[in-house]
Amino acid sequence: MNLRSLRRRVTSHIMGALCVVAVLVALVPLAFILFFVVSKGIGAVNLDFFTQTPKPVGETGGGMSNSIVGTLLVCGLGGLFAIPIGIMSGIYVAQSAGSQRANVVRFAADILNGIPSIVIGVFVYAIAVSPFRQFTALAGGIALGIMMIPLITRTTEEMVRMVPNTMMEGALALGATRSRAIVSVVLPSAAPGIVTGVVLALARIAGETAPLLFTAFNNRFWSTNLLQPMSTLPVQVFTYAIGPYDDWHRQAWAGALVLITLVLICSILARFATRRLERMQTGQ
Amino acid sequence: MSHILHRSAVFTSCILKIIHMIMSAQPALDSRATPETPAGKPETPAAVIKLVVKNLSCYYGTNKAVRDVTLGIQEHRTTALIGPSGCGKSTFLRALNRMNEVVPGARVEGEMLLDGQDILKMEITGLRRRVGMVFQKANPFPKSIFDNVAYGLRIHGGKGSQLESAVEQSLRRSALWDEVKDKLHRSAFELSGGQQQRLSIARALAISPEVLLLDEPCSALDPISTARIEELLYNLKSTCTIVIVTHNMQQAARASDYTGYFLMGRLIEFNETRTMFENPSKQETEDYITGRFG
Amino acid sequence: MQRHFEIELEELRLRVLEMGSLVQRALQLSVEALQGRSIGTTADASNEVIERIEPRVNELHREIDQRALDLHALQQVLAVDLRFVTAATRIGSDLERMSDRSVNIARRAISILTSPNPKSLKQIPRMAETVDSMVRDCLAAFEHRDPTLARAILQRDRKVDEYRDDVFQELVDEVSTETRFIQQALDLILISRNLERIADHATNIAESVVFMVVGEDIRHRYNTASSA
Repeated sequence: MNLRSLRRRVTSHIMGALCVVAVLVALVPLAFILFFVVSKGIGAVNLDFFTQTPKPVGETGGGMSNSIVGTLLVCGLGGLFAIPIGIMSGIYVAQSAGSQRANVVRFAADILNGIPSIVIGVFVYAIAVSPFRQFTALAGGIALGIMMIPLITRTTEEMVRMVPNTMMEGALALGATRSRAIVSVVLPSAAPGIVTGVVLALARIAGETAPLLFTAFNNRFWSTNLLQPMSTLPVQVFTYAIGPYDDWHRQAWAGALVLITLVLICSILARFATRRLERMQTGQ
Repeated sequence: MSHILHRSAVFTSCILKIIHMIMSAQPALDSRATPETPAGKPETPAAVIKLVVKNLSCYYGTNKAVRDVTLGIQEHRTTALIGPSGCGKSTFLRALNRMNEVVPGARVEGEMLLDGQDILKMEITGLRRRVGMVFQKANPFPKSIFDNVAYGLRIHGGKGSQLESAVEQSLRRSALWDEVKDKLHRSAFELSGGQQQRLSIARALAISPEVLLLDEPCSALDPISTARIEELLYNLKSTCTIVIVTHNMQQAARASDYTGYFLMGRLIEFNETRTMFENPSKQETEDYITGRFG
Repeated sequence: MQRHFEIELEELRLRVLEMGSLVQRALQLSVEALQGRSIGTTADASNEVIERIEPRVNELHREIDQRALDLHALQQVLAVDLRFVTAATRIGSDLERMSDRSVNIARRAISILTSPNPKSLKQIPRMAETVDSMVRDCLAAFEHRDPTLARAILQRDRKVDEYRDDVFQELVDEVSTETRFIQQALDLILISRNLERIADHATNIAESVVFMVVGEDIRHRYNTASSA
């Protein structure tokens, strides 16, 4: 008996230690990335970086103000496109759960999720760029939007399903129609989760480079015109990183740092909004 | 002169006799104080059948959960439905306001009449306005207490100041007003379990339903909260017709006027509660009530 | 929060009190009938007991039992309420028997007064007075939930038994010398017997009151068993 329990305890400790090691291994790349980006990029992050546009080729200095604004605009466009579609599809799937239609829609969303981003970029190029012979921020927004849709659909579906059925029944029993019940009771209940899903989807596509190469392309100059090419952080970082100049390399690191920071801010905002919404519901 | 006096005397005594006759022909003013109905009970109007159910069967797919049930629900009375788990009483209750239709694959056969109108042919949101429901677990909406109670009113077109008075009246009827009047705009989730259930009742009452269906409303509550709810249901009877499903026989005995015993989808016996619990007609009923079965 | 079943309990209590006051009246009237100077007053008093009071007492007995049954079945009364309902049922039975005994006395009163040279015994009025006070006190003890008053009644039962034995002895002595009084003597013995039984029922009620208030069952402890 004593030997058996000793063996059990030893095994337990070994497994525990292995888990800790695995966590450390998982955290190491993150730590490295952060370390590298911060140490290499912080030097080039200054006021100019946020206020100036890129200087002509060969000259040092300048900034990525247009790229930062561009990223915000294109992601915003993508969200505008994807959020209503994603949320409504998510509700549809959640409400008709178990039926053939629901399974089909879910399957389609999963496939869409798996399509390589470059393929999406090429597709949007074919339908929105080539016919008009124009790279546009709008096309970029469409491409990013298409990538966001399955993410939002999935989280919305899951959050809506998590709302207890009794809440919906309570609204129906008072004489509400199905759609009214969903909008006035189920959605507010699922809102914290849905918001998290949306913000995380935004954070995810903020760094997508491949689809933007074919749609929004890039722009050396300041532009907020949606029907013109637009500079975005990932594309600009790419351009500078493969370029020949050291100054460009430094600015690329800075761009990467700003990008990571933007994503981090998004995640923090998501947590904040979620907690706020939850507090409104549970009244704590 | 004397015969004038005589005539007036005769006349007066005739009048008095007539008055006496009229007075003694009127029914006793306090007709409540008979051996059966002691004075002190809230005034309940004469009983009339509010809901008629004829040969009702309810299916979930191929599963026949309710088999050929016929009964009548008296107006302004509380009717309790008892029986072991899975006997179909909850399914039956949900059929009365067609909440069973929420489940895919559910269907019913037979007839249900509310004041003579066919329930299955009625417009469903209108039906649910007249026949309200309170569920087993309190399900407050993620809104303020006020908005919870006002929800039904808003759906059916209520606005502005009439909302405020309706919400207050509803909360008073559910014996919750004093506890929440200072925090109407706080979240409903801040309330305790018993309070949330009373809130659900207030929410259902706000739209003045004619019939209130309650599906095991106290099963998740402690005895004090249960007692409170039973007392408020007792007082509601005068303005509402109540049907309550309960797995707690003693609650049915305490709180209802009529009781129906369900077993395996069938209605075994339907009787006055007093008779049901003192001298039931069917052996199966007696076995259940004495605890020898189920 | 007053529960509605508290109204039901109060209704039961009121019925018991009503029955009690009727029984008290029946006892008083039947003793009056005994001591009546004329056939007329005796007949009136007896009539009231037999025709008016006794039927109402029986009706109340049934009502009390039904209400008690309802309270048990429908309200599952517990603790003090359970003891109260149990006591009310027992008291109802005792009161009903007391009423029957009063009816017997009333009937015998007519018989005595219609016989030649009606005899009167001093013991009987004294006995009646004691019994009357016992009945009055046991009902007061019930109304005011007073166990002390109830226990005090138990002592007087012994006195009543003594009275009964005295009456018996006295009458036996009398008829052994003068046989024409046999009819009356038997009537008087039976009347004293009825009075003694009423006193026994009063002590039963007193015991029920003690049980109701403090939960103690004091029956069969005191040696108040009557001989045949």
